[in-house]
Amino acid sequence: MTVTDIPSDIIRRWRDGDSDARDRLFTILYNEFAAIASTLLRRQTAPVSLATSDLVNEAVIRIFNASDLEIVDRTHLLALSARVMRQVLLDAARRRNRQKRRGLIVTLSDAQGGAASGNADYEALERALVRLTAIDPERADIVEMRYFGGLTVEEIALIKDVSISTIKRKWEAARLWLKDALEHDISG
Amino acid sequence: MTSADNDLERRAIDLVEAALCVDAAQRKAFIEDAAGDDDRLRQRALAILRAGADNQRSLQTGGGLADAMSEAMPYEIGGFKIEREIGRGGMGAVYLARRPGADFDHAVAIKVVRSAASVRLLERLRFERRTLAQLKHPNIAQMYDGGETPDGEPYFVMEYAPGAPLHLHLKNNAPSLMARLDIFSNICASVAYAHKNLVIHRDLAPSNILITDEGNVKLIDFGIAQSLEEEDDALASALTMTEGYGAPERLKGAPASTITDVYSLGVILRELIEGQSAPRPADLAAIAAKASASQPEERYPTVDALMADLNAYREGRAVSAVDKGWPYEAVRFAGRRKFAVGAGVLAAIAVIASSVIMSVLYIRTDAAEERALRRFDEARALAAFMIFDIYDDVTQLDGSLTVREKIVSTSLDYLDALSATPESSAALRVEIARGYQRLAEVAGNPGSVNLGRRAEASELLAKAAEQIEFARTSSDANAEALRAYATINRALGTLEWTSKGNFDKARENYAAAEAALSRLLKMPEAGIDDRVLDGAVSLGLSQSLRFLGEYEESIAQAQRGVAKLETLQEEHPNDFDTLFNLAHAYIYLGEAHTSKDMQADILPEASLSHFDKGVAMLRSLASAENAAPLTRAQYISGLLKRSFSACQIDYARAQGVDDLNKAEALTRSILDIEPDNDLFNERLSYILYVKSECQNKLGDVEAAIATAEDLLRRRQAQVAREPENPDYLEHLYRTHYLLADIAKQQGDWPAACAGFDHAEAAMKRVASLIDAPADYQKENLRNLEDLLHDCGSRNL
Repeated sequence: MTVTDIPSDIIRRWRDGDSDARDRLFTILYNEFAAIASTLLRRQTAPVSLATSDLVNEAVIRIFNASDLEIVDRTHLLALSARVMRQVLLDAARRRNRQKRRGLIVTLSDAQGGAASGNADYEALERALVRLTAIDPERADIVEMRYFGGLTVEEIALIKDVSISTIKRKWEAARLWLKDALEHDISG
Repeated sequence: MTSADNDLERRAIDLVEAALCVDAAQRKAFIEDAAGDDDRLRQRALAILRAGADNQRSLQTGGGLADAMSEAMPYEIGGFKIEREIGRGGMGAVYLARRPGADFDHAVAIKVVRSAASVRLLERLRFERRTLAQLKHPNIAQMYDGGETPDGEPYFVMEYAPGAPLHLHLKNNAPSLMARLDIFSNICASVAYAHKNLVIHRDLAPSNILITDEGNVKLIDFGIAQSLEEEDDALASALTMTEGYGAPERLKGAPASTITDVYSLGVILRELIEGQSAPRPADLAAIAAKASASQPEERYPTVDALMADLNAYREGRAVSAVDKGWPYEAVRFAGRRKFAVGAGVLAAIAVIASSVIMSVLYIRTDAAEERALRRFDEARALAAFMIFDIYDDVTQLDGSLTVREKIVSTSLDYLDALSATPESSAALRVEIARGYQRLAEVAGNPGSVNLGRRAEASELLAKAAEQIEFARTSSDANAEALRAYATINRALGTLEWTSKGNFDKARENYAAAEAALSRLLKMPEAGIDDRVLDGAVSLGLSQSLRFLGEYEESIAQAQRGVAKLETLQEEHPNDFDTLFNLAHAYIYLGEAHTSKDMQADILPEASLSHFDKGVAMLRSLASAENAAPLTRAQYISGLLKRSFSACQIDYARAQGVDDLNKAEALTRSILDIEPDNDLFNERLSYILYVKSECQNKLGDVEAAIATAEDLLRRRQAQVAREPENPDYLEHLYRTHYLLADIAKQQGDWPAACAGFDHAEAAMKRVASLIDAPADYQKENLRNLEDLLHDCGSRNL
């Protein structure tokens, strides 16, 4: 399914709690992002200007144009996009790690490799995020939207219906917790 | 994880979050105070707070994708330990790395190319690394080593030069005009040096020019773009050229050349002089404009010429860019004028060629001097560049015949001069032989897209064979010599077979090629190209045996070729040359079956399944968007060969006519673009022959005669051009015979007898030109004698 196949009322149905509509949107976004991400990851040729948020916004705009959408829906769609991007990158990392294991390639496998060198070990990050969701789902949501979706604090504040300064503080604290968790990740 | 743990974690995060509201210096005390006597809460909150203390930039907003991209940072490459990523470009990433345990601190930059690399690309890169490693210039970052990572990604180990790219250097240090010109002179000198060593930069841009912390100029990424472009057409313009610095013709698919590097230098000079506060000297602007003219032929033909003008300016002399009245302001980026194919290449060739020939003449008169020897090496390198690199680039463009012709004539002068030098090392002989062989290929071996002068090709190949003959007997001939020997003998075989009709000689040549290849394939240097060549040689043997009437053996050789190439295809399912030759193997197998069955007077039904396989493969190769002219030609040829069999068989004849119409339309459309192309002209003639026969068999006599008369005009024109070419004469004989035979079937004896008369004259001429007529040729003559005897008895 592509963006052009989107039924015009899908966003409304999704907002009304139609889980079938949500799954369809997820599939559409997944295909969009996976195609772009796999090209970028394989060639490592992302132009500097292409940030995650551009990518996500671009997809949202296309869906937006293809459907009968109210402005307020846009932010919800952005949040959903962040979740999709998280899944895309996790799947890509798993694939890559599987290949490495198969080929017995040693890359960055030392315990401090991950966060300390500025690189994210996606599987470790995913474990930490899952744990953060158990501890505090709200903060996990914020991390997802900000890190994977590139949403602005204003957008997140709109979605979460709290003040901008609250979002900023929660994001900072959640980041610190995640960094600590990644540095002490032992199950990798 | 218990809910009590989760509760503790949640309270710890809340506490850290509250602490973030106070000044950084007081956060630790804030937490200790707020935690009171809850030791676990205090410890966790402080641990979390400490996680941010290193100021590491991690988990950036929207950083998910970028982090995923750098996750693949390797740990170790080629014995160097990777320290960190220092750059990321269009083709991959660059890392700073060190040799662990080395006595002295030896930092290198390692560039890893992210690419789904084919075997052919890897082989090409290995070769290229050797070339680049030979570039030793103070202003070029030295290439040390390279290889492939266990993931199969090619990498280059290069000199690490800490510094800033040119554009940042200009921004941060605002150097004076004189300092800028010093920088530019250094850039030019290194590019000129590289050009003399066969290397084109292809992506000259400020980001590829470093100013080291010591203030020296270092060019990076020399030539690396080249192999990648060849590998992936889609990538070519988009990713290997920095926008704004690539010559406009390259966007239209023209190959990179010395003249496209000149363009990039012109743009860089313009930015150097525009980006400073002093008044812009008009002469400098003129030099920049001339170098970056949108028309390649309006640029400086070489970097040396550009430097000469720059030096003239610096010494206060008149510059040529102004002398000749270049309308530089108007010319600059004038834009979208039609690009004349290869014009820039031509300009470069003219200059290169004259310097090459001069050098060779110079060494002949003064061979002892070291300087002469060095110039000699440079000259050799340049000539090889011209014959191999430029020609290859140019053949990819349709309609480039004139440029190719020019390359041939200048290269030939050079090779003849080189052959006469006193030096006689094996390496030089191999090089000369390969040069001649390439020129022969260009001049008219029917196996490649060419200029259609077979007599010349034959002469060139004889020269090549003479140079390389030592490889046959020398037991210590290296891989390169054996490869050249096999390639040249295969080309000779093809020429003997297709142009001279000397199939025995062709068989000998192919057998010699096969013997050399069997030695070569045991060597570690043997690559995929050698294995493809080995398969192709089996096919050549099959074809010559078929023409010698040894059909069983011809079928066996074609099957050997099929087997070799099918094995190769399993290992490299996407390799073009493998698929291309395998398609031919099926076609040749079909032809061998056809010949055998026809001789035994059996319908050639067994051939059809082989033809179907071959034609299907050729069709898919030829329908690729970037299919080379040769591939399209061979698809046409495949259609034609299948139709020849199909036309013999009642139930398949409709399919045969269909194939012929497709083939004819395709051929004529190609000839519309390149009317003098011998390969396609030959195909069209053959198509007409088969079509006339097939039409006649279908009972459409009028159409059959019209087609044959069209063909006769073409064949007569060919013989008029090369009256002593037995191949052309034999075609003429066949065409006369075809027409006469149709007339005879219609009972039109006067027309038939006149035709047989012409046919006999042509065939007698063939017999007089070749050493020994083949059996079938003698048979043809006897047959004609009988027919003309009939005519005599009818008083015609």
